[in-house]
Amino acid sequence: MQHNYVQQFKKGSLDMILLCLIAKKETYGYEIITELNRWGGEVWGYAREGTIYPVLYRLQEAGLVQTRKAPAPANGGIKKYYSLTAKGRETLADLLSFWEQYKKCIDRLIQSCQPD
Amino acid sequence: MKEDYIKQVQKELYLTRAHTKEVLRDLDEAFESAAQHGESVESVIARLGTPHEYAGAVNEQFASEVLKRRVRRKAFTLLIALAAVLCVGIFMYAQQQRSADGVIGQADAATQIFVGGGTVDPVWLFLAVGILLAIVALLLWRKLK
Repeated sequence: MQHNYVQQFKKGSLDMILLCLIAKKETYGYEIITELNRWGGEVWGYAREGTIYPVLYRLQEAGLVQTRKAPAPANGGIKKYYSLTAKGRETLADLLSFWEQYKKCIDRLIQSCQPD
Repeated sequence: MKEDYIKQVQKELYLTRAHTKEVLRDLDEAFESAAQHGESVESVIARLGTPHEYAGAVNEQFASEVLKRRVRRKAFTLLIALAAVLCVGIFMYAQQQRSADGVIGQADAATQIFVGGGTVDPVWLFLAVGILLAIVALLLWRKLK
């Protein structure tokens, strides 16, 4: 199930998934990747830094995500922590509301396409 | 191994200095975080993909910035190449003039006696600078590809 159509579908929803994860709590790169893989690695494919970091840069450039650098509680190494901005929270709310409508609409359509 | 990987990524990024610095910092953090969770450098690199792939994915997200920088670099390379041509042109023109001036006497044909100069002819500087600029232009062009 890893052909181009699936890849495109996953690409389109990655922004929303990332915003959703960051909305839960302030988090850092490696934790985001681990969480993504824990939630649905086998469905949407295992996340990699090469996929996630570039999207995070774009979300930051768009003003949806903000960062701060701070020592990690575990060992003191400096990590970049991501959190949502007000604009990010607003965008996520819009995306989730759209997703609900989209899901219902597509489900209805698919049901109507089922052979009797 | 980690340092080599980061260096390779740096070579392939077409971003502003500030963005490049940030991307490389994050990459370093990715390696560090993975190490804290018991992952080896090799397994992180296997997940990251080749430096070319990683840098390509980052460049893609900064598409407009990358495009602007590529256009600027192309224009700069062209300017250096033009300066190289100009320097070599000046040298060749000066050499032509010089050989006519260096001939002694008013004979119908040129004699084989020329006035020798004790110091380095400044005209040769144009040739040296021209060649140097041509090499720089060539290196910049190769990097652009």
